[in-house]
Amino acid sequence: MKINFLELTLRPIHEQFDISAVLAYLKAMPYCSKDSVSEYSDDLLQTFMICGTQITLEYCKKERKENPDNFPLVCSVVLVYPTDNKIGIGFYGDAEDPCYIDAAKFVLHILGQYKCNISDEFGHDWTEQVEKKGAESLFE
Amino acid sequence: MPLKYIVKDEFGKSYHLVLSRETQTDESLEPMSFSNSSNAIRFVKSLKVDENSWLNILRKIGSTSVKRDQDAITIAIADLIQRGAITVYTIAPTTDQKHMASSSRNKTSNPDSDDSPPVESMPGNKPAGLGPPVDDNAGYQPGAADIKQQADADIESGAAHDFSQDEDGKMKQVYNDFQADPPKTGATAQTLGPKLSTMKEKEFTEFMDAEAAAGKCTSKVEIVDSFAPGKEKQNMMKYEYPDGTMVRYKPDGDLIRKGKPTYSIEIKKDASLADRGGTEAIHDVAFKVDEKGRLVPKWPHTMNDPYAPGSTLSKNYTNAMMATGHKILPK
Repeated sequence: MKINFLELTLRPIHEQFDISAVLAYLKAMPYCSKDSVSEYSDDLLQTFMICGTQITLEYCKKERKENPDNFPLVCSVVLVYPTDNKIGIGFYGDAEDPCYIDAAKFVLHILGQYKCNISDEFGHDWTEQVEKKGAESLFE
Repeated sequence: MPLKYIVKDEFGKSYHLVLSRETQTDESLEPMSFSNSSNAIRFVKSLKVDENSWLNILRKIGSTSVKRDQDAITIAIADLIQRGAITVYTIAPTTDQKHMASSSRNKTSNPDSDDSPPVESMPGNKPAGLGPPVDDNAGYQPGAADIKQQADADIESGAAHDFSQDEDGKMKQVYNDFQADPPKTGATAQTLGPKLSTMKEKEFTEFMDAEAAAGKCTSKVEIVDSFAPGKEKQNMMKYEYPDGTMVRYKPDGDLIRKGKPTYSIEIKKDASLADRGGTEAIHDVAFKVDEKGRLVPKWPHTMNDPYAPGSTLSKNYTNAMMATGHKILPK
């Protein structure tokens, strides 16, 4: 896998995200945990840590408890916005880390379900590329 | 039976290095302890041991991922000493004298024989292979503060960077140009690092806008995503200096620091090219710069992690290192 961005935002083009299905998918992902110290209420935002391994999951939970002002920069983070109809994904591990690979799988799952506008933290729009070359091209 | 070696420091004083947690029965030997990683690193640096011998010792312990780099080796050995995987004993004068004679042929030697073979040719010297992350079984665990201190030392020495992971072969040249006296690239970043780190958001934006107004840099607005609930987009400011220094400022912060203004100082790979943005944006940057004006890895991929992959120590190190280049501006 190749790192082309650190953060992605997905916005469905034709419909609303089925938030309950997205949350169910995240909750079922291995070594993924809902963040317990997110500063926003569930109505506005739900935050998940995709950790890739049990050791990373335990580490991140402990870090969040001990340093709630910072996110450990060793996992991927997913923000689900129930009312804003968007999902943000932060890839903070190395491209070979299980947390990166699992976050990429999550993105591919969402893009397999919904046609989305896709943008990164530099303002680049990846929508056209994904339409032409497929969602996998985000990570090539 | 633990493996033992005698090593000498720069003053000729000898020590036993024992590669196990078994204790010495010889009462003339006293185990040494080090209060922090800096002391351990200083001690290892003082030892007259060649690179091959250290690598051999690392292989015996299972640390096969350490690169053939003096700084990386020193840090790895110091870490193993701190965690108890290698125990250091000072040698009392009488014992010392005896072993000094037996080890005079090699910088590192096997003390179990008066005719000690070099470490490299010892019988039964099979590489142990990379086992589970060594720190997860170790008795000693450096705390986050120790790791932060080590990350700081690595940034200072340059050991923080893994140049072999360079995407296009430009990182090393940029690093050398930045370190040159006077710097050939990124000189502005060396002063901006400390200067911006003391500023609050209003002072920061006024300062950067004044820099642009004075013609020292260009400024450009890019519309990027905002992750604050209820907000769709934010205006990211991009300030580019002709010497390859670039400052990015996001008033709404990034994905994990929603609503908190953030900035980063970056060094471009090619100072003569304006930031291209788009799919090339992330690849055009060689390094980020910390609050002391030093080069730090832009992402984990180019970071030289001295710890076992996946280990807690590795996570602490990555966390500490990555935090150095991504800054929050107080309001």
